[in-house]
Amino acid sequence: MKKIDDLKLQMYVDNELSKEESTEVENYLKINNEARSLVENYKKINHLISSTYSQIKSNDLPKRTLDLLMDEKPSFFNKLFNFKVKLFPALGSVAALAIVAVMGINVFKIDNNQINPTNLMSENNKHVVLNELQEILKDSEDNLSGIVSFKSKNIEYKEVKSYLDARGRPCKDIKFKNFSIKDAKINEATFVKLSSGEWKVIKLEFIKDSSLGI
Amino acid sequence: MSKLKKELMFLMPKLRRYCYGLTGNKDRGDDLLHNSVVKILEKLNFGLSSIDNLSAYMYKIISNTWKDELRKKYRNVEIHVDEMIYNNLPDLETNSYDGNIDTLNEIKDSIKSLSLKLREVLILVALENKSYKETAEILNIPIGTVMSRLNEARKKLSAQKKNEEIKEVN
Repeated sequence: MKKIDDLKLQMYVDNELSKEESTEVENYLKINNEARSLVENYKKINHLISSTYSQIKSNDLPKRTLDLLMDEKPSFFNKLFNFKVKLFPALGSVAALAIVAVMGINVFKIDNNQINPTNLMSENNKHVVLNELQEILKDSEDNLSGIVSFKSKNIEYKEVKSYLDARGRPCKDIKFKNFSIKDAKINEATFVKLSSGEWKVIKLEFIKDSSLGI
Repeated sequence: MSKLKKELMFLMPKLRRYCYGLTGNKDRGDDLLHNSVVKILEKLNFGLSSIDNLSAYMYKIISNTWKDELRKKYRNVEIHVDEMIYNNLPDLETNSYDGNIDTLNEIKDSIKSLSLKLREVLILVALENKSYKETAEILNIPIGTVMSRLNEARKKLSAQKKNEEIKEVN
């Protein structure tokens, strides 16, 4: 019979051989005392090792390590997820604020379209409005309150303030409400009529001035 | 408790036994087990949710952790550290125990007298019943190396056993 080396005998002990190979080794062991002694020795070592350390298996596990395992620390992704969960209301608030801000801007834009401060109205357009209003009131210079009909529309106007300016000139502020000039819709306009008969714009709130087109 | 932690709990007795086998000491074994569990939990905390073969993975972690600890320990020794640890560790390690070795029986001492490279193979195969293939994967070495180391370890243990028997007769 062919000699079987130590490594193959070792494989036999460690159950690394196929059934046929194991049978071959077992047959060899029957006729070779040295090989049989070696295999028995290997098995004994295996048995000693496993029996020595098997008692450790039944011992209580170290508490600190168990505590570590039992401690439910969230994983990185759990942390991330929890963070996300916590973040959702915050994100919702931010989103809501953003929506409100955008809407506010739009509202503001609408307001801008509806009522523009005087300084946003071009000087040309102011001049057009002013001339038109002077035209309206040219025949009623002494009566600066009432309703005047202009181009089939009634325009309400009112003297709101009478005073002397820094040079001691008598001035009168006249407020006009809700009127249109050349398709420009004006919400409110306040002018000062100087004693010289000259008019100046103090306040002019308009809804739309683009149609003035001057 | 996550699925991975449950699997880990189930493996704990085996892993602890392996740690004892590697370190040859109960307290050191528990330290090694703890440090290895800390490592895997760190990985778990950084998104690791499942491992195909947790058992093999843990043996690998334990083995590497132990080598790392030994490297740290022998950092100041003026020889090639890895080679020294791997091939000649037992003598140095025995000297460093300062009498605190938990000698359960003779075989433990015999195993402890083996170098780490022989000891880890022997423990994985003989104690943990790992196949040569599994052992090779855990230790990241060829199967042939597993077989030769295993053979060397057993021969050394057999020689020690014979010497002890001779001593007893005398």
